[in-house]
Amino acid sequence: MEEFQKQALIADIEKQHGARLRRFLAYRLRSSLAADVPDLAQEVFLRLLRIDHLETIRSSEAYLFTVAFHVLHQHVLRHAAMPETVEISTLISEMESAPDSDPVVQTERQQQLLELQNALRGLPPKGQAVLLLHRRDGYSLDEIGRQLGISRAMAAKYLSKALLHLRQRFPEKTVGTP
Amino acid sequence: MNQQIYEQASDWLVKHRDGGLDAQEKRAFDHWLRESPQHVRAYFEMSSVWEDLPSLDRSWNPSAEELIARARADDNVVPLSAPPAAVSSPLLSAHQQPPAAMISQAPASHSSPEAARSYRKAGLLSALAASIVMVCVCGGWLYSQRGVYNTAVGEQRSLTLADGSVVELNARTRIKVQYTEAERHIDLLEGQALFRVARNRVSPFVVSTGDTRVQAVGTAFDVYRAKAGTLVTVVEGKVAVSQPKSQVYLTAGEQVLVTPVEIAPPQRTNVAAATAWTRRSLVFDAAPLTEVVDEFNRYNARPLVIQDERLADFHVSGVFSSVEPTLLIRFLRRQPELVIEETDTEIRIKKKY
Repeated sequence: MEEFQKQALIADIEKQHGARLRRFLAYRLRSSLAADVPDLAQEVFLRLLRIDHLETIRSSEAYLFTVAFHVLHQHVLRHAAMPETVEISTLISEMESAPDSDPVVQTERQQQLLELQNALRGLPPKGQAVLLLHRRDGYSLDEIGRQLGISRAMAAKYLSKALLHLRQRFPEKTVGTP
Repeated sequence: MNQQIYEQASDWLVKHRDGGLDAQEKRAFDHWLRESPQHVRAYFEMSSVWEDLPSLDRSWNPSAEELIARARADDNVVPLSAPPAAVSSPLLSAHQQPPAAMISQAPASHSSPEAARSYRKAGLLSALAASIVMVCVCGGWLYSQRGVYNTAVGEQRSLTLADGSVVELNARTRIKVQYTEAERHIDLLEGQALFRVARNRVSPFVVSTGDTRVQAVGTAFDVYRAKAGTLVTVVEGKVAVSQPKSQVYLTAGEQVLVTPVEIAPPQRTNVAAATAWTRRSLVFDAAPLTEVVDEFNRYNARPLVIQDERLADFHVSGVFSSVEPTLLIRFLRRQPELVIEETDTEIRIKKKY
């Protein structure tokens, strides 16, 4: 595929499916980083290295998730190669429609969300406020800074620290590292 | 995985979710992602946390006003990793039940406002004491970890130090940076690093591996703490390599192996090959298979294992990519006397006959 076509495709994916793709991947990534696909990050990394002009791609973050999606898709369907022109919404539906009927997986997922909820309650007041106001109530960091009497940069720092704190509450995934 | 990497991932995620990146930030993010698979992994993990947040069933759902009020009341800088007991704000502690031990000492005039005040004061003090202990414990640990940088299997990173010197860390490497006015000291605890030293006549730049000291002024050199000893390769300028009892000087293009017993005579070497790892390639010139396997295993979570002693004198020559290990495996598969078996946890090398 021509370079400009590829870029147009990625821009399109980002615009139409960005949030949905990220949400879906979050769920998949958590389990695949742990078990199914031990070398997922490695595989995505290698594909990033193969791109000659990553800087010309408008959003490398969207690209990152698109590549992760392709890798997962190949893994799930055991396809040797996937045509890049396949409509991505079809793929997402396809993968979403194969639910994890496994009760163990379901229970684990419930447990994870419960832990996240507890971790959220355990956050220091400023981190809690910045995280919930931004993610739940849609306040911008500027607005949060004004409300709490701190700078925008500090608000960003509190948000970043709050996220880190939440991640630490999850068991460390050790697959892929010694 | 390194906590620092998660911090970076989290910062990038916040930037992306709030207004996006400008051109310069985007370049930095691209660069960061392409530095290591660990970065990609950390970004995925942080992103999972972010995306999980809306799916929470909120049995506890404070209003925006409540959150803002509590955040404004909390003017302490709270240690991030402290347990909830230590992070509760003074405002909340004042309304909490006093600790059980205090109850037995409570005076009879329990209901007098003054007693109640001293009561709360004591509660506050003990909460304060607890958080000071917490800060000291965390602080002590943080202090011992200060200046320590490490890389995992398959990860390489580049650090710029306070004086402008640059350190490239190869995979599975750990260094401790200790700068004082008298000396810029780096402990190479494990692995391999290339140092590009900023010129400073007053404060020498010293890398140590146990008893071995490598000292330079304004130069570039590579130090590899290998099993057999410490291998020092000079890329530019001059360095002095010393042990408690001996010392040698090396110039550009020279390499020396320092073992616990002696400093071997310096030899001319192929500098490009010795520093090939910084360009993500591995160069072998009739290297024994055991050495190839050791090198390869620094970059791969699934290790190569030699399963036949007779392969000790099998030699390999060639240039391989350290980030695309499949090429090396393909090469080994093509060797008529070898059999390669892949399992989920390792790659076994056997002799065919």
